[in-house]
Amino acid sequence: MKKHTRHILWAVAIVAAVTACFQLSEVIIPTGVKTNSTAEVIVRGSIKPQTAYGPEGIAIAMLVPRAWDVTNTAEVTLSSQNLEKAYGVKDPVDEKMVPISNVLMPKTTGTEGLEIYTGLTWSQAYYMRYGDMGNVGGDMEWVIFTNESTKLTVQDLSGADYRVELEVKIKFKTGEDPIRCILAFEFAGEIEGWEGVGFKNNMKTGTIVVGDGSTDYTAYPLTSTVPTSFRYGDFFCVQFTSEAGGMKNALYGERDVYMCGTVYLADGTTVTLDRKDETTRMNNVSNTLYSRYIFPRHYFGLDRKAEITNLYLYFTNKDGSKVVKPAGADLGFRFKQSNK
Amino acid sequence: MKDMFKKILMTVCLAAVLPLAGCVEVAPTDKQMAHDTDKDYEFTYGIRQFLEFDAKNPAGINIAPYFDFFETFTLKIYVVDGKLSFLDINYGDLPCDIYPFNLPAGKVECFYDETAIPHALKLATGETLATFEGGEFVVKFVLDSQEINYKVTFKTLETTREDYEKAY
Repeated sequence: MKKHTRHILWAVAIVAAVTACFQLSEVIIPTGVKTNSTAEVIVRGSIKPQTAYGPEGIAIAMLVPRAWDVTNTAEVTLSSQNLEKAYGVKDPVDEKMVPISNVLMPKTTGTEGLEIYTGLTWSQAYYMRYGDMGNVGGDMEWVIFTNESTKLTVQDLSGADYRVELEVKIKFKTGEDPIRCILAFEFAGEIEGWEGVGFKNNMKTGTIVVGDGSTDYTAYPLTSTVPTSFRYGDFFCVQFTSEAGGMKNALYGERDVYMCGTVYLADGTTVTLDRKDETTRMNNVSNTLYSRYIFPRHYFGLDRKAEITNLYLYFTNKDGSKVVKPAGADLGFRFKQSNK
Repeated sequence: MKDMFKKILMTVCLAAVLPLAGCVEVAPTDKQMAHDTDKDYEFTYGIRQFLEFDAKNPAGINIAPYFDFFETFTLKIYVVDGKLSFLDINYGDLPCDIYPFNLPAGKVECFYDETAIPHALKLATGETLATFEGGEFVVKFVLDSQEINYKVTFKTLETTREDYEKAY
């Protein structure tokens, strides 16, 4: 049998199966993961054919730290068992899946409030629907992959008395940060999105700890930015809260909070900003939340061609008697730029 | 035939220039302009919106209110003999470049390219300065991160009074 035909057939078989009873059965997250290494997460699901359906394909959505750049660096593969038993088609083994994160969500009608996802990419739609899933202190992104095989409409295959097993392997690079975060996974239909009846309620989550996990995405942060991911040559909003996770810090109750800090430049020099006036005063968003948009070169009074390589900020009151910095970090909170 | 061509050209120029204005105060209407095709005008525009888009904010956030330096940026367009012919962009105190190429200093030759999709305001050397979308000129660009997109829209700051009076 030609390879192409085989792909079509097994894709058809899978498509039939997902119609009514797809279950994401388990997510295997490794332990003892090191920074700057390669790790593998395994997602398993089982499907049982019931009704005619299609055309459709299998997509997997996953919530991962943006720093891992899963879309561009991960290897995602799909394998199955029992397809041959069910349909006489050889089961795929580690067939490559490809990213569709930035493709427009193909179908966003059918149930509650779905019009709000119209015009969004898969990644945007997933983020809007599910958010960060408890990763309140880190920058996560939804990435979506799908199998490459051709999809066709299929016949009723409900006679099968066993399940077809699917396994998705995701190999990714862990990066330099010792991240602790919650990963989430969900199967979806490449064409029906999350609306295909076979894809309901198959979300699973699990915690991964890289290195010592000291960069804890699940802990309420004192600082955040909008956008969450940026580079130093961009505009972004720095937010600071004087109360996080029920804990109040030294600036709790202060009306005027100032944002000072230090930048490292590509030429090896540093520039420190410590004045506390209207140019550094943060806006009061609420009694405990403060924010200020900055363009780093402008904020630190640098030449427009200056290249910033590192940025630290801390927060203080007018006379400097109250200062909030991370424990043991003299320069303040590090605001790391993204790689792209 | 020549007059007809001029009128069409003028209408096109105005359709291109006037929608830059988010809050026009003294700019004439299309109808007013259409009956006089040979006058020269100067339109000065400032930044109305500086929108920032990312994956989590696909609708964009207007950050213009947060920085005073956006008010120092000006875009001046010169209509000569009914034809959009020159422009002068002054970055003012803007700390970033919104074009990926070196913008010539001072008054430079430009044209309105109707063959482009969408229509575009271009330098005589071919570089696109703005596109005409949704009834107004916009400038789209990235700065440092490839995952953050920006879009600038404009408002009218000034229409040359002398020419305006001369025209009516």
